[in-house]
Amino acid sequence: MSELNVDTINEQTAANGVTIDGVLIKDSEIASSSITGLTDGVNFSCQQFRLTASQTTTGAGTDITSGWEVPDNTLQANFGNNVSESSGIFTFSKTGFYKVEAVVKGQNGTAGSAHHILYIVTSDDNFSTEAPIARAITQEGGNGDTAYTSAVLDITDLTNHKVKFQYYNNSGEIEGDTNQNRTFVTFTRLGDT
Amino acid sequence: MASEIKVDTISENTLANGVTIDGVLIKDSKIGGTITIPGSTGTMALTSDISAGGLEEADQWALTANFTTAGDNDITSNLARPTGTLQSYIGTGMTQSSGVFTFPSTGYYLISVSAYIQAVTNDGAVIETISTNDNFSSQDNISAVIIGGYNSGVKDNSTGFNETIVDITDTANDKIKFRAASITSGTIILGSTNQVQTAFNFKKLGDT
Repeated sequence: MSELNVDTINEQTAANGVTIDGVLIKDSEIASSSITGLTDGVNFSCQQFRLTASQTTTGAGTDITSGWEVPDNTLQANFGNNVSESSGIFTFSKTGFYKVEAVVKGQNGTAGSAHHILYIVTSDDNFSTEAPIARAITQEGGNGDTAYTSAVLDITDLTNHKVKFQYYNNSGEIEGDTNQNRTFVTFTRLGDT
Repeated sequence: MASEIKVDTISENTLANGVTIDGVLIKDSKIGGTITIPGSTGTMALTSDISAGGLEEADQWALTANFTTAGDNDITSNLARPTGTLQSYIGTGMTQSSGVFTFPSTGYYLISVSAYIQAVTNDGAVIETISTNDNFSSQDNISAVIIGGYNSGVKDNSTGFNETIVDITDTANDKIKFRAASITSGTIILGSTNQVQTAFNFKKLGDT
């Protein structure tokens, strides 16, 4: 195997630059046509939204349509901005693979029978149809308990591929808070679709 | 006539200097410095190295002994990086002293807590993530994982999870600690030197 040890390689012909196996390097620039794989890096994002108020409806699954906020206490921030929320519908501004995580805190339920569930619900037709694809479930006796679930999504259609969250309380409530992450969701963009 | 060199590998001649090709520094699998990528729709200036990708920092600390103190108390001891088979960390890693975690560099970090708790009946055991931007002259309780003890009369084993994103702009003053709260006598937050049971995880997402 041949090896060239060198400090500097300069263009032999003025204005031509240096080509290495098809990659043109010239005047401190790399031709954009030779650059691949950068998209993932510059569009990585990690965003959280938390419930600001407790959800108290009992019985069948209920959409969470309000009360989401970006956590904003000391040091808290979101990294990137590929996901936005309106009326409980989470929309993507860039296609790609996303990991969706959900943490639910249930409390004040009836001892021994208190189920609290948070569902990740997806749609590929802007919610003409939908599917609860993952659930975090906890059963607690009044003092609070948390549960976690996650899913990886392939978002290829920004108009129709969307996410929302539903909850179910057997009794008690799913807790929200404006000062602390208790029930919240996290969207992490993993890379291009 | 254009000149041509046929070679399999081009390596640095001077240790630590890398190879500069018509103004572009290539060193240790990275393209360094600030380069401009021309394109029909504009240019993109890179302000730091382009690396092979992946996280710059990913670190985990775990409780090495059970935490059983009742009440509300900071977790100030028995914290260590797991050292079992294959376990490791990426980057410089967090610095921990008496339970206070200092960041290795500015940037956005994802902090998660995975808690393994045996809670006694009717307890609601909590591990809180507490942030400060003035080296704990003041503090903010920004995130909490809670495990409830059910009403069966015995301790229940459960794991809970919580995470939050923080923007670290001042490594001298922006810090994190964790607190065990609302712990009833008999409740145990489990720790071990042989297995991750209760863990505190830090991932750097990117520059601030």
